Amino acid sequence: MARAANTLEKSVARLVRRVLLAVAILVSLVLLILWRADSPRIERMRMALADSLLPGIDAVGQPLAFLTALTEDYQQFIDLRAQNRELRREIQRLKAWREVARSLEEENAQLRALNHVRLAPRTNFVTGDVIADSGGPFLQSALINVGARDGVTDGSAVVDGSGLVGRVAGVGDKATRLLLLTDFSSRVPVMVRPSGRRGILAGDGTDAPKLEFLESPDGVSPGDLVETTGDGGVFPPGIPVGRLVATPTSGYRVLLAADYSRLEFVRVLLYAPDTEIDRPGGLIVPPGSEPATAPDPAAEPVAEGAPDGAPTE
Amino acid sequence: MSETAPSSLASRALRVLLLGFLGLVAIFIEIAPIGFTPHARPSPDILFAIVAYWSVRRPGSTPVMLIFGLGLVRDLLADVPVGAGTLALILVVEFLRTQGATLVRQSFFIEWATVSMVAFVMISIQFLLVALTLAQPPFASALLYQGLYTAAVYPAVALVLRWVLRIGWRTMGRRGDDRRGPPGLRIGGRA
Repeated sequence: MARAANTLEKSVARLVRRVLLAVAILVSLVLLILWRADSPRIERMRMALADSLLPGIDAVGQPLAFLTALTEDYQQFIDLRAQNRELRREIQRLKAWREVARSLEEENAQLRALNHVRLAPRTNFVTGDVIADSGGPFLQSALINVGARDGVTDGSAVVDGSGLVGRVAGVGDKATRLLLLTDFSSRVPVMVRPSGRRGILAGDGTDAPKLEFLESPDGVSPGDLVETTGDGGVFPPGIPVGRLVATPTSGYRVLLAADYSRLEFVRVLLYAPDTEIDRPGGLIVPPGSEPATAPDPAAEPVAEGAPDGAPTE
Repeated sequence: MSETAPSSLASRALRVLLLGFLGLVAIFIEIAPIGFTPHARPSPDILFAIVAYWSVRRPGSTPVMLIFGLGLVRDLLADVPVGAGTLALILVVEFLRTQGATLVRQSFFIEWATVSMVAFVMISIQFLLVALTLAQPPFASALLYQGLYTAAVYPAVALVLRWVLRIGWRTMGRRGDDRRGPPGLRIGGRA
């Protein structure tokens, strides 16, 4: 009797497990489809999870990151003398540049004052600590310990001391996911200086992302500076991205200015463009004819083709 | 003692909780910020190594929903295509759960080779699922390295689980005493 009950119990347990297995497989497939469709639900789920597990991620990740940095520091310690000499030489060079920069800054300020130039709004930033990386081969991203409570918004630019690192791809309350420029899905509008040619920086999983859709190769040469354009109003213009290099097989690529090998603290730029031009210009009519063209709410609708809310003065 | 005795249920629940905790720690280790450059090698799949060791020794304490939960947490935090990593993990764990009775009689090297092959199968399933969704799959070399590192980390995981947490082969009285584990990784205590 007891044996029969035991057998029944086992077969019920097996059945329940099979049902749960089927459910788990089905839910996994649904989640995969949602992920592929770039559903915001997945990103919200990810950031809610990151928010709730932040203490654990930090507690395990920081000691490991510290140990790794210690190992790297020890390796560098071996050639400390050579590094010291190199740094002294660089300091000498930079001191000369500092004087040049100061005089240029003064001159620039005077010229701006003379011309009544309106400066772009000052960009604020919030600094965060990198607490996790994706670790796997699929996406190149990182988690930082600042979030919506610090004013971070989706799409914001993230920089280190040298240049652009990536953009915010998900915001939680206390954590933010940062998509690196090297990731397959990263696309950033950039400009090549000094020619002013525009293009798109496209990550392809390598150290040096590709420069695609370059307006024209005229006046563009390896070594040119690449910076953000500010197109789209997401990134501030003029953030250094890197230097242009030419490759024989895949055209122009950009050697990134940001130091990915030592990504410890990053700044999230809290940028808001002050003017947005989001509609075509309307017809400017003489002041006297205003009543004739002004739309009357009681009258017929506005003539076809007239832009909605176009200025009438 | 019946399997449903309260003490047995309590110890099983404890093992499930322990596996959940170890799985979370494994995920946190995997995502520790120690390499951002694209040429940085991917982390080994420590979660798989732990779950694989556990599922052949304690198949009754590896509930599907726990494996699903751990897989999903890893997919979300480690930016693995959500669902692909979970599904691959669930499928290979279901396979490994049935292999305990065979592996218990083999040497650890056979177990290591089996788990390594299963790790490569799991990575291949992930790759195929990503390719099927027409998303950009990662470089094959990165996946190969991940498989190799996962295989390399398995003995270390086995060592910790066996000698620190005392998760060894169980005495399978019904099947005979010869089913105790091979020398070096033999039974020890129960979890």
